Amino acid sequence: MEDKLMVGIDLGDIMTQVRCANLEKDWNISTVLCKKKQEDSWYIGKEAYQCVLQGEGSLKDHLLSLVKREDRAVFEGKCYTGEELLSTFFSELFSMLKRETKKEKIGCVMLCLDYIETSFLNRIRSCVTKAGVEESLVHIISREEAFLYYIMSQRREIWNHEVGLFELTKAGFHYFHLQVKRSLKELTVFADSVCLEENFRVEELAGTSGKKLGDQMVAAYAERMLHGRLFSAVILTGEFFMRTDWAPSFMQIIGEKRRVYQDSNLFAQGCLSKAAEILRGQRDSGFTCICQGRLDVSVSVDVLFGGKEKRLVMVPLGAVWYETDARAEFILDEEREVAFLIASAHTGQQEKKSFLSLEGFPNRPPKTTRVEMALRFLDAKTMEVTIRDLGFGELFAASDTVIRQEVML
Amino acid sequence: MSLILCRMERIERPFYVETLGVHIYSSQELCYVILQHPFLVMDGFLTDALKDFISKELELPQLTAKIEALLEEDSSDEALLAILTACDYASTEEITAYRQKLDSLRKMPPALYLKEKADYYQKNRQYGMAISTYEKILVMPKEIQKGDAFMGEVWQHLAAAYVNLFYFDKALHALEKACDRTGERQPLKQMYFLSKLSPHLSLRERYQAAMTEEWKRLWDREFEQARESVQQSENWKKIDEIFAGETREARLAAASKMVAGWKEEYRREVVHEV
Repeated sequence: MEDKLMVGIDLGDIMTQVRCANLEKDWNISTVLCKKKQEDSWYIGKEAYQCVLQGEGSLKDHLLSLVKREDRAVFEGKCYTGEELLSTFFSELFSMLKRETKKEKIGCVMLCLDYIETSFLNRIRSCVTKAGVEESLVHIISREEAFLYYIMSQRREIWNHEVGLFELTKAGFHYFHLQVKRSLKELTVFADSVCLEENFRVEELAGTSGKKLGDQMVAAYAERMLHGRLFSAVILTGEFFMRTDWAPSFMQIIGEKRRVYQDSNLFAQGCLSKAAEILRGQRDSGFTCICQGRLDVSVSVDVLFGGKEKRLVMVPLGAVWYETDARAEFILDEEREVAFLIASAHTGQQEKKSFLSLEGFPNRPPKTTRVEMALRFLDAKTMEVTIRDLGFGELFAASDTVIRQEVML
Repeated sequence: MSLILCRMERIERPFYVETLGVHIYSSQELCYVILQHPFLVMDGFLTDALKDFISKELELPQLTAKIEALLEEDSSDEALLAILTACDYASTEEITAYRQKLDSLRKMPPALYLKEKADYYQKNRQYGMAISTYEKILVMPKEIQKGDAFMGEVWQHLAAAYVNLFYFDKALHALEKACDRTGERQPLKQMYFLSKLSPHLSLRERYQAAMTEEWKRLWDREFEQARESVQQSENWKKIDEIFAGETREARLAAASKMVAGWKEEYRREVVHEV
């Protein structure tokens, strides 16, 4: 792995931030693509803008939105899908990284996105794969998770209490929040985010009055987010927070009995922290993540095993819902329904029971029906349960009966 | 509680239970057979093939070692219970009840035990096995046999097994013996039915004399009702469907398939203890 690139990418619709493990350098690249006229040459970031300014090519921006909308764009009369363009963007990005780092191979790509939806993730994964990275080396997490991993890779005093992060970029003003809950057995880390202002305009910070207005706006949000709570750290990131002299009121509020840090490219750093965990083969990070892309509930069923009643956790708390495909085989006893126990990370021990009827399954004596139960998630709040009749060997032949039902969590 | 968590077993070579004509693909199925068919498993079930299946396919070599140790101590019942305990299929209550069942069967008088066993084979259409087991009772010393009523029943059940294998003459002989032992009307009725099924059989005069005209009228009515209900049965409908087939080839193919099934069934039914 030493001579392979481990890449963390914070893929945004406007900017893409990249960091490679064991390298000090960060790359901030505009998520744009330019095709040189009459040639099959493509450019990304600054080179793309230069090419356009020189009148040598045409440019397409908001590539991520294009993929999200499953839209197309036209270059020199030829139509390209958003996926084709994003794939080309990745291809150029990886070429640039290999060139600059003088490394030939990619060992892992960890991407973070602000929008998590199964088909969208599959399309993004496919774009990276088409750019020449083996599918098993591509991982995608939410920006909240990248933030969470970034914070948890810091000293304990940083995340001892709540952590707030303000990000101000051209994409908007965002607030990320992290909180650690400790119990005797485990550490549960909650992270969430909120968009405070969309599409923040640079012009708003121009001139004295613009800066004052901007300061008032961010200060008001800071007051709302931080008031009366115990924070062990407040972090600022994004190009408009690289200097803070335009926002004295804001700085006064966030610095009130709190430690304030400034960092750049921290989502890409969080990606690398997560990637390192995967590459170490570490399945248990020592804490449970609850954030976008992760489940804030666990799903269990009561079973008989070894002659004793036991609780089988089919899906643990904090599981990545879009990757979950939990399967187990059971023998049905006398009852004709299955009860799922759904425990929320927020309500602790309180459980919700959800029942699934097995009406329509063949009538057989007790303990002569084997079923396969498969659980997957359509989103963080919707579980799809599939129960398939497997019969009981040659003693009771399997039928084609399948029950599929959505369970709201 | 409605779910029993299964051991994940990937069986490549299933275990064949000849008496039942089924392959066993999991430890749960094995336990089911043990629980539901005590007569099948009590004697001679724990063969090398089964031990091999448990050891290699179910990946339970320790259980096989335990079974072998128990068999050396002549504790085959304990070996069966060891399988049930190891496979996480039967509950503790079921295992306790099964232990009691085995104990009670073992404590049965030998003639009664053999009859129960033969009846079990009969119920599972193992007529060859049923016949050889009933015959073991017939050759027992008189003091071990359980009296005329019991022996009459044995002869009667033996006759039923013969009928199922189309040995009508032997069945008639067994019914005569049953009639002689009990003097009851039931064997006479069965002899009468048998003579209707197979007209070449001739009933001895003394049995014919015992059948009154009134009884014969009743039995004729019963026989006709039975014939009508057979014509309404699923199997009869299947045969009708075959003959309603569109082409001669289709009819022949379906008929050969059915006959092949019957042959296979008959082969299994006729298996007997050597």
